[in-house]
Amino acid sequence: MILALAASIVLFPGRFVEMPMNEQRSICVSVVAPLGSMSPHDRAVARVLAKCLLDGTADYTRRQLVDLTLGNGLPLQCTVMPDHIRLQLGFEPFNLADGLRATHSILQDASLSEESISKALDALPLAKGNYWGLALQPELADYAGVKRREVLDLYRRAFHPANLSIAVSGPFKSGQARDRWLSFYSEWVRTSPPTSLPGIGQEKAFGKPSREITTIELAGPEFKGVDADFPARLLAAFALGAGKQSSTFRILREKLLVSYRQEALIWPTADGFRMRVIMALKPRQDEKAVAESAKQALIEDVASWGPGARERALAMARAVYVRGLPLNPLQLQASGTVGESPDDRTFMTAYWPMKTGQYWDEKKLLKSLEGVSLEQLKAAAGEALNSSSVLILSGG
Amino acid sequence: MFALLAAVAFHQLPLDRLRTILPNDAAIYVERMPGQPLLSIQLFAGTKYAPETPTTHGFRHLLEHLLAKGPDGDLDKRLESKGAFMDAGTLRDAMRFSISVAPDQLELGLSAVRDLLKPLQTTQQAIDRESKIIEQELALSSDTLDLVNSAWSQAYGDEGLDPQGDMQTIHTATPETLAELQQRQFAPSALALVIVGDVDVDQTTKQAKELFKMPEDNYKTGPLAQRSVGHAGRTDSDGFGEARAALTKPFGGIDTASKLAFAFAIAVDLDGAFVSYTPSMQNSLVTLGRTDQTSGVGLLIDGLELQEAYSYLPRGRALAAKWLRLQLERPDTCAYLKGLLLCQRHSAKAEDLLDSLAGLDEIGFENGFGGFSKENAVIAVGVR
Repeated sequence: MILALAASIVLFPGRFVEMPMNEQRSICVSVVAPLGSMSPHDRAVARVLAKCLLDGTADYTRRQLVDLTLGNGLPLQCTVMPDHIRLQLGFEPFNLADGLRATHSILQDASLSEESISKALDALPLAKGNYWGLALQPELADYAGVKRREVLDLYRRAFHPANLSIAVSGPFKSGQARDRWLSFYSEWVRTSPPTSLPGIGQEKAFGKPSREITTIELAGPEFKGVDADFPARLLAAFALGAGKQSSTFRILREKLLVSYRQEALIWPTADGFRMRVIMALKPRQDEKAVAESAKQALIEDVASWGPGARERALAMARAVYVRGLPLNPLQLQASGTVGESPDDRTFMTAYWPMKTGQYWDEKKLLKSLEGVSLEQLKAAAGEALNSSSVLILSGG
Repeated sequence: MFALLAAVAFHQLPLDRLRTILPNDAAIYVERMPGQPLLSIQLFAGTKYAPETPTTHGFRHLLEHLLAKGPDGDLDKRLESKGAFMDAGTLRDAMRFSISVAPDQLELGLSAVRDLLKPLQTTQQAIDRESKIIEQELALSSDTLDLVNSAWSQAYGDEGLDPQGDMQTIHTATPETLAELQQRQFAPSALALVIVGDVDVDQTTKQAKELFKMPEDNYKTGPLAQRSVGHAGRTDSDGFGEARAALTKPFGGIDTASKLAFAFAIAVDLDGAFVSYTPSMQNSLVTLGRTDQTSGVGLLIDGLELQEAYSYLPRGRALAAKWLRLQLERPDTCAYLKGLLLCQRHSAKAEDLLDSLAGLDEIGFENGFGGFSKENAVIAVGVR
């Protein structure tokens, strides 16, 4: 029995982490698979896959999946980000076995029917996103010519076991979720290892806002989550964007009066992360000038930071990582900041090792932030702003 | 003898929650959540005596912006330097200030509340400046918000004005009109202070009481604002999409339970769907809509046979109860829900809705289904 289990563990080529959490009321499952760099066509294929994935499997209808996964009170969903595709499920503790079976069924036997894909292809190109969602993900998706075969290919590649990072948390005994998962995995039809996504060019194109709202972005250079200066960059995002004493709030809203909503965030890219300062405003004639003056004013503000700015940024980081204040600038989902909910914690457990090869450890991260000096903080923020490129999605 | 021992033991246990109504009618509610790293302190000023009207549309919003800065303009600085955070919002039935602190920062949070309760000292220049920020805020209205606001206007006319306000009206505000509004908005009987987190209930209540010792001539009351019965009907919206809104009675009863359950159950089957409901002790709306397309919501609802609708009952009941339990689990969301209800009615209990949901049967659910029918609901549609 023990030998068989050990053998099964070795056989699962992906990452599976279980987190017994007695205080949790439901079971949370997060499945994350990396996506390579995507062209507009690839992006469209990925979005079609995400939309159709939960329409049913060989063993479950969509309705059965929905009713089984009401446990976390959140909608059953599959989402696409620049670097990954994510499946999030929640179910009642007594449904652990059936919930994991359903997860397995979605990953192995999703129907992805012609009808479902055809409906998605009708709806997705016409979908109207909100202005902030578009600002966060301005890259165009080109749905023309997307074929079912491509969706199926991506499905097999992205959700190949070797590609998966899975985390399960909830009130169960240690080993219970893992053993159950392995029993399902033993039924998994083996396929060849994934290859990289097909690229059809990397043309630059951006969507149009659905409302008359302009967003201006200062996009900093890319960096890796394992870089030595990652803590300085993250703390810089706190100083720039977290709270009403942050630079973006004080400068863009209170001083320049140009924007009501502005954020500084760390956003994933296919290969790493990037610092982004985004502001939303009423359309105006001089948007380029606004972007330049905003950039300049922020650079000047960063240059004026003293010890108080560092202390405030650290205090906000503690509030986020210790008390769950929803102001985390590390934004890994389009729907908002990743917080302290069981779903979010489970997601980070699956995502962070996939992205960086390291376990997600908030205490360790906080300690590394405390080691950032004022000079390092200013250098990180200054570099992000000085080398930023400006992207304006004009709503006018 | 056993009963006596049990009674003694009961009295020795620390209180988990305590609601206190002060002689001036202000309400305080403290709830202990052991082990929670976040302490939420929320001040609610109900609109009992300060309803939104066409001539003051947006004054409350402006007042909220100005008060949130604190009397010396340094409230955020004081809080954030210690890792505390305040946000504020204007809702249809209340103005809300939410302060998040660590459990050992109760006094810091209460000092912020003390500042928020002080009479507004402002200038026309400061008002004009803040109006520019609100102008930016209004420009960012979402399709969801626009659809919901259109439904409210259709249902309740001027009694359903959106809390964000109208720029033309906001430009007519003066320090005097805002001071007068503050006296009505912050009348003690419209105030509720809710504190939820790892605190000692008795001690915290005692400290909170000190905040509400306010001079009587600092506030005014007047006729109690109550929304009339709403009207079904169809309206156009600036927001892209489609929404169905069911007219609802005050929070807690089977009417709210059935409509929320129905909306949650149906939303799961609609891509891009939203459910909007702000708990109210007055007549209100539960809105189900979508912003990715301009049809589908009504088609789905109107296409349901009664027996088919019944099949949504277990899902709706589970989702609505889950939503409510999630609100009650965290200090900030718990304080939000309870404070919003408390400032409107002292006897209101958030948990009443759980009881109603538990008792929701097919007959009750039929009420929810019927509330969203094209004959009984408010329909808002926006195209571009």
